[in-house]
Amino acid sequence: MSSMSLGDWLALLTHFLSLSLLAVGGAITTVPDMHRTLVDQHQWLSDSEFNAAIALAQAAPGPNVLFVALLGWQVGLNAGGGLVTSGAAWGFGMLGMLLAMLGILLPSTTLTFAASRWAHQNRELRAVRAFKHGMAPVVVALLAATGWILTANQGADLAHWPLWLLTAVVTLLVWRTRLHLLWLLAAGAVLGWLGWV
Amino acid sequence: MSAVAAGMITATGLKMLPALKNNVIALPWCWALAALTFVAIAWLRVPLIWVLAVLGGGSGIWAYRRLSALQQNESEP
Repeated sequence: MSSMSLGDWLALLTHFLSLSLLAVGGAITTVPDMHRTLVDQHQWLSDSEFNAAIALAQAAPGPNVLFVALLGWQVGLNAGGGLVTSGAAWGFGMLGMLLAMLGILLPSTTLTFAASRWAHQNRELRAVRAFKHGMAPVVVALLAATGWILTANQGADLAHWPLWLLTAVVTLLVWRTRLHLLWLLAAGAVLGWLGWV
Repeated sequence: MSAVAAGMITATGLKMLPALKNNVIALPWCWALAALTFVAIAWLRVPLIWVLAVLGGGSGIWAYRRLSALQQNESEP
């Protein structure tokens, strides 16, 4: 049996449907709101499960929006008992993944299909330019806020200072150098495995 | 790995900072807008839709007025 009611599943779908239309700087800018709803409000998954979904999608090849699929998978899995111990848990995981991906992709692709041609044809239009100029500082802040929430999820107390330091160092390296991202992820994995962070 | 992912995402945002210099909204105000958005989302956990409606909408209108003013200056000899 699933610990989520039909209404809960519907809420999962509509949450991603609505975020899809708010993703002004890509799906990653809606991560703070996903955390607020999925973890804080509904407690469908834990802080560390939330972080793992995003870290895995960043490390894996393919579009980063796949973190949404992993979030849906984890929510469904938790609803079905937490681990893939039965076909039912696996089925709920698949259902969660399907609803999350459908939600995040359907409205934005439809809108992009219709709007991007229009916006491109009218790119000199004052309203279109104003939208881009106005949104730029907001998008910068949304990305920084996503990084902040992911770091805070790992523990905001002083004992977790190595993790905060690692995040700060990686931020500087990615910002200021052309070091390949996979080297950084590998370094992070090794540090975690050794128990240093 | 998730500490690294957090750093990578933050850096993606920081890489966009140079583009703000060409923004019609003056740089200090861009910074102020970004700071307000960050505090609202990361610390106060205000729902995204309100932040986009108030701060995003407000700065859009602001940029629109700045663009109008610039165009008027250009058309006057």
